[in-house]
Amino acid sequence: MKKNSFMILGLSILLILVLFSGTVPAAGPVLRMATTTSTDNTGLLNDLGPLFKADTGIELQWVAVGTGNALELGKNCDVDVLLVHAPAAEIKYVGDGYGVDRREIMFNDFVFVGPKGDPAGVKGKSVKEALNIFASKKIPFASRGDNSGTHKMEISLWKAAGIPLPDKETWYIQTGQGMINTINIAAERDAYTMTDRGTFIKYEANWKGNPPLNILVEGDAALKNQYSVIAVNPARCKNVKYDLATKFSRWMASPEIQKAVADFKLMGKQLFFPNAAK
Amino acid sequence: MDYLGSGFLRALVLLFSGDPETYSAIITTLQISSLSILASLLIGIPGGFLLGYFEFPGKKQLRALSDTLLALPTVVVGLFVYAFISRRGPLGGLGLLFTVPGIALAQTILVLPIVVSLTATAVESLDRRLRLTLITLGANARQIALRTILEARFAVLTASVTAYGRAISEVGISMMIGGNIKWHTRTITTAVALETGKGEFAMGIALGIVLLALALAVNAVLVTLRRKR
Amino acid sequence: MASNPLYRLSNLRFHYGDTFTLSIPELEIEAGASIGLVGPNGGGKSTLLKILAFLETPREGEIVFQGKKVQGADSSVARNVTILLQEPYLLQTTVFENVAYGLRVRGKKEGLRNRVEEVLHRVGLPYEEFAHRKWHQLSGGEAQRVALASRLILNPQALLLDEPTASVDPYSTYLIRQAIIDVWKTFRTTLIVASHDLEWLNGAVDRIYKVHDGKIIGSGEENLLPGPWEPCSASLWKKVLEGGNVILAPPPPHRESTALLRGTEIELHVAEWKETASENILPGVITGMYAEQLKGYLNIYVDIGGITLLSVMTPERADHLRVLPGKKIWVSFPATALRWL
Repeated sequence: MKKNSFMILGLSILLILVLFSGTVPAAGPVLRMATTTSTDNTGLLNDLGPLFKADTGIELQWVAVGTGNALELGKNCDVDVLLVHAPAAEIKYVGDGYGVDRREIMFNDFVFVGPKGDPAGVKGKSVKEALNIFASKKIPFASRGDNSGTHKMEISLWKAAGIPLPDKETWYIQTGQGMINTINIAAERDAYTMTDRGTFIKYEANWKGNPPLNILVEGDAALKNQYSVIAVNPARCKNVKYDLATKFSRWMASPEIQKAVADFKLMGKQLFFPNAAK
Repeated sequence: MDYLGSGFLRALVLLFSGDPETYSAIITTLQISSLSILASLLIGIPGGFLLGYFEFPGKKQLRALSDTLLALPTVVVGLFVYAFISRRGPLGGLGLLFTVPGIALAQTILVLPIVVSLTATAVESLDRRLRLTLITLGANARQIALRTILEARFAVLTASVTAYGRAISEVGISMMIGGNIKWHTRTITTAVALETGKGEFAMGIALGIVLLALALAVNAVLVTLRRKR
Repeated sequence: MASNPLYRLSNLRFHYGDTFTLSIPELEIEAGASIGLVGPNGGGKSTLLKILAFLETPREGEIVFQGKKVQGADSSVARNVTILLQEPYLLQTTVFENVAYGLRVRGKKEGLRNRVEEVLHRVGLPYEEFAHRKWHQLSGGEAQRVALASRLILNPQALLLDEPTASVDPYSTYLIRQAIIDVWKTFRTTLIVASHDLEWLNGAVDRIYKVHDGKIIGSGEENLLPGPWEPCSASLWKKVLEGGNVILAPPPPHRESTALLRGTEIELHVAEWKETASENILPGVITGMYAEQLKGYLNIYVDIGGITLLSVMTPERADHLRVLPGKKIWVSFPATALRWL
């Protein structure tokens, strides 16, 4: 019996050594970024990461969470740089001294989607008109309800339309979840929802081009979704790699990368429109 | 329903083609859970033994605390540990956030009550005649303690496997503390959460099946060890 | 009285919960003695054994072991004495490791294999067949024999056994008895055995004490007659047995008191014979006879209707009466021979 015990112990130690043999400490510099789940889900960063490494030798590691969470990580000095898309919140963030060097990089847009037959009759209308129809006719509407960038955008639209946030209305469904799940819930409930175009493109693809929800309102200027890079304030956070963050910010605005952003295709369709200042 | 079918096929493809992302997630999962199990056993088995073996003031309360912590929700542990190891927190200087050791630390906290409580129960459930037998055969206090833990070994083993199962299947801690960073802190469970969040249910199921296979393998080890009785 | 007692107990009292008390004013056990404790379950035999094994501490009183006073459960003293518990209990390992454990904890590692083999042989377990078996691969009797072997290997000064034949097959019962007699003869190990099996005990030990209600009574050849008793006449009470026999006794302290009747005070007769009104003359059937080899007299067991009486007589008298098991016989004893406990 003793022999067996030693064998098992030996095998375990061997296994552990094998497990950890692959972990070598990062060879080069590492830049930690917080971004949003919807950004990550587009797959853009999977392309840009290796490019950044090749161009600068810096490894980009990113954590994809909700916008609120990402901003909080920056406040807590747990990341070096942010890539988010909630302009109002960002400006306040920089104003409060948590972030510096806010640089607009690219935009995509949001769309309103709804059931195929468009029972509410909002197709082609402006955002303001559509929202008014939802509120007055009490049309089922699914909201992210999770303080994400998308959610914040939606709230600002209600506000701009002069409609009080339908927080306690029964037709207003607050899912508290990510974009895909919210779309799915909207489809289940024959409801309308607001989504970023990228997520909808993927949703469409899942249904082989024939989903239960279609894009009904788009192109309104209010639906622009602006992405910016913000460096975490080094004065507040002694440990952040401000120089690497700056490199990343400049790199994202560089002509080559701006072109790469435009060339990025999701299901064969362009998703992002670069607009970094020259 | 066809998620299951295509998911199962996808799982086979991922495993046998050596898909690097999948294997990275598997290795990361194993790394983290091995660390956390090792730590929780090293602390928990002696701790549970002391708790079950000796009588001391406050024993009942300590036991009640351990039993209550058995049901710790992972997100709660994740939040608490984040508060400590965030740069803003007291242990921020250690740089544990978004690393494998950081996740392992939090998982250890999660499963420690399991090891402690189940070991204490194992020791308490031992036949009273064991102690009498050891005394009458001439064992001293240290020898009695050692032999007692040995006699409880099967229950302790079961406790360990239970703890391991809890560790590899949790997602709240891995998400919060690990950040689900590809190639670095993406575990099988966080990968499943990611894929489902993206709507890639088939992929989620594929990874889930991989996790199940892992759990079955661990269980198979336990069964063979028990058979060596 | 022994000049060199192994144990001397004085004024011993033990409480179990609130109710039960073991109360022994004085008890001496010489080194090399072979003693049996008999009595009903719950009567105190196990408790007394555990105290003698230093596993329990008496509430009051003093124990002197090998001339030295012992306080509490002293493990250094306990090493000289070993007890075999009721119900076989083994460590979760092989037979070999179970038997070797006591030596290992004493740091005695040389010659283990030989010593284990020798002691297993003494309890009738061939080494090749049994040494590597696991604890759960043994019958009850085999397990108890392994447990006994693990004690014998230690060569203790005193070997205590608590109901060693309960839950054990007849063959193991026989082997266990052989083993302990053997060890007693060879090593002069002090033997103290508790058992409710009087017959087995008779063949195993030298002297038997009855333990009843926490007290030690006499040396085994007493009959215990429990209540209930009813009034019969002015000076006599009676107990009615199955089949109609009536035992006459002097008035008891309580209705439920137990009376003691010495085996030597019972006479057997072939025919009924009337004497005084306070004489008990009862018909019965002989159920067994036993020869006390060490003392040279016979124990005759007679069933008088639900109670078996033990009568003591010489072989010559037994021969004269043509005493045989199954034979109808008459027992007689005066009512005054009964002593109340």
